[in-house]
Amino acid sequence: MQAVVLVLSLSAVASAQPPRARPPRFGSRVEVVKLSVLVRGSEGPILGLGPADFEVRDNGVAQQVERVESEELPLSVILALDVSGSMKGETLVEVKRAAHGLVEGLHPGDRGGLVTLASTLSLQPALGGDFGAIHARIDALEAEGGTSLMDGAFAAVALGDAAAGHVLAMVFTDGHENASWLREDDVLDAARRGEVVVYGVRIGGDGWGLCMGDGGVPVRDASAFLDLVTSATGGRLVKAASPERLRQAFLEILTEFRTRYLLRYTPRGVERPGWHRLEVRVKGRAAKVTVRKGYLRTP
Amino acid sequence: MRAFLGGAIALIVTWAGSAGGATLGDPTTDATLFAGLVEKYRHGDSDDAIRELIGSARSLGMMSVMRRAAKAPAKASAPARMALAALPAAVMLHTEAGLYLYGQNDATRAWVHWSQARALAEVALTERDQDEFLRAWYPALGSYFLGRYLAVDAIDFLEHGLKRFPDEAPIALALGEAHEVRGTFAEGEIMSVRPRPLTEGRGELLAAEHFFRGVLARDPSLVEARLRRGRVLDLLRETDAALAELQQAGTADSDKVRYLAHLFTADLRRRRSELPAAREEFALALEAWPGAQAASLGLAEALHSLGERGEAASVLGPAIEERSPPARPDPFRSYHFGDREEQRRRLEDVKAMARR
Repeated sequence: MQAVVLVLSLSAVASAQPPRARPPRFGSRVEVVKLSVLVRGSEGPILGLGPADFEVRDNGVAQQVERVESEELPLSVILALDVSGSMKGETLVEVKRAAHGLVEGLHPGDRGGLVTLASTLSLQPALGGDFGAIHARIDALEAEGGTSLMDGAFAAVALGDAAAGHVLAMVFTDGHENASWLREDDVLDAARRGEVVVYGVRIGGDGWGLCMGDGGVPVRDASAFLDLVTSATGGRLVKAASPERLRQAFLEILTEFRTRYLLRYTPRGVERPGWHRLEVRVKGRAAKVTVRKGYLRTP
Repeated sequence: MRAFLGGAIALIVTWAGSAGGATLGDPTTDATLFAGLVEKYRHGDSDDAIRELIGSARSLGMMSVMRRAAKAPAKASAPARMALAALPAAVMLHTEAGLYLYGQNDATRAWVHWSQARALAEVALTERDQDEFLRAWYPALGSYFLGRYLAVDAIDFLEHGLKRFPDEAPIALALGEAHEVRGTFAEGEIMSVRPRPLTEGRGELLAAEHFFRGVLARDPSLVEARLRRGRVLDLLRETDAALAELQQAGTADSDKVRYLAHLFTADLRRRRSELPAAREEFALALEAWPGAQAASLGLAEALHSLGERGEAASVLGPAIEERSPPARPDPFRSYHFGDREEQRRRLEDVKAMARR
């Protein structure tokens, strides 16, 4: 699992082409793949690795890791919170506590942004360094309406793709979906194309059954979607047994994410379009590597 | 909820069967009480009248005697005939009693009143001015049911309306909408408000298409019917016919209809992986309704798919950024279950007709 990032080298393109009314179409782009990699040993995360320690294969072709960054790398964290009607009461209180805890865990130089998902999405504040604004927004959250989980997950991925650095999207929900415009398959494809690592936090029971949500509107449990989208991006789904466990779950994810490496390489010897299967290993030692299974590039 | 309706009728019938007993009150007294409430509803404090009807220990007695009077007006007592003379008000009094009780989560008693309202309406309303009331009452209450996710009940209710007024376009349109909702949400595959490939919902969608086509045959200028027929045809995978209808709807004067027509065309194109065409249609939708979230999400997703990820974020960010005053609500959000404010307004209009 992991995050793949396509970094578009715009400056060379911009200087070589005449001005255009429409945005550049990046016809001759140089693409760097960024992989967010979690390396764990029997004692926990393995830190201090460099480019020479990693073996990366892109569609079976060995690649040269050009750069590895880890703890010193600032994070961009997009928090996507379900604030639908089903969150009313104690759950919302605990979600706010957990979100405050997460923001308190951000370092100077990190950036944070908050997307709320109910019947519609709301972005406030946008990704930036004003943590006070995020705290204020969290305090003001109210629970009402439906749940647009697919839309929220896509927003986290799409906004994260435009952000610099090591990008974490954390999506929290009580697991129901009933208000999204986007389709599950399209959101999963976007996650596969993007560079963002998605972690999910879910509270409530498992299952795929239909049930009746607020006001009798049919909703569907979305655990399987969260499993797919998190594993597609190299993240994971954390299930909180009770609202009181949410703060711990949020902090666990942030702590884990800080131990991840960000690897960069320029793909060589592989065709650009289509699905790129990835294999990442640590040379010469027993380690579990968590990274996205691959990445998708459009023609 | 049909069970509620059946239960409500059974309750009234049971009561009516024993209503002649001395312990259950005198029918003339009940009719007098009801006539008084109708008068209060028409000319006095309608909320008081509703509360008194709901709270009265004689409520079921009033219903029973009025049902009998409606079936045989000639044999009814003088106060019952007086209440019948103001029947739109009587119908609306029970309608509003149902609305109040439903709002209090007392669905069983709500359906008792709604079934009474329908019984009175269907049996006794025959005058031309009363027809005018009914032509508005059926679609207004049908829309209310749909807005509360009671599509089955809306269909049941509107079918009665259409039986009485077979050429009434608003009733047929509302009935088509209810079938469309049933068809759209019939699948066990609901992950979003947009439908998945259909199997079980097909029959409902075919019914919806039938009603929309009928409405258009009578009045080709009804653009909402054209929009909905286009959408339903798309769901039925009759793509060419769907595109023809949606393209026509896309030229409507109404911003809302134009927005939805382009949005649904974009959806059709996106599903066929025609990304540039989908992008263009989403952009046209946003021209009709700037800032709408569904179209913004669709456009951002299409751009992301096309590899234009920076542009995707620049479309999406402003569309979901919180702003004051809030953006106009996206019409797609009320496409299936209606707009509650509009539903309330329609019921107010019907109430005004009943209190004339």
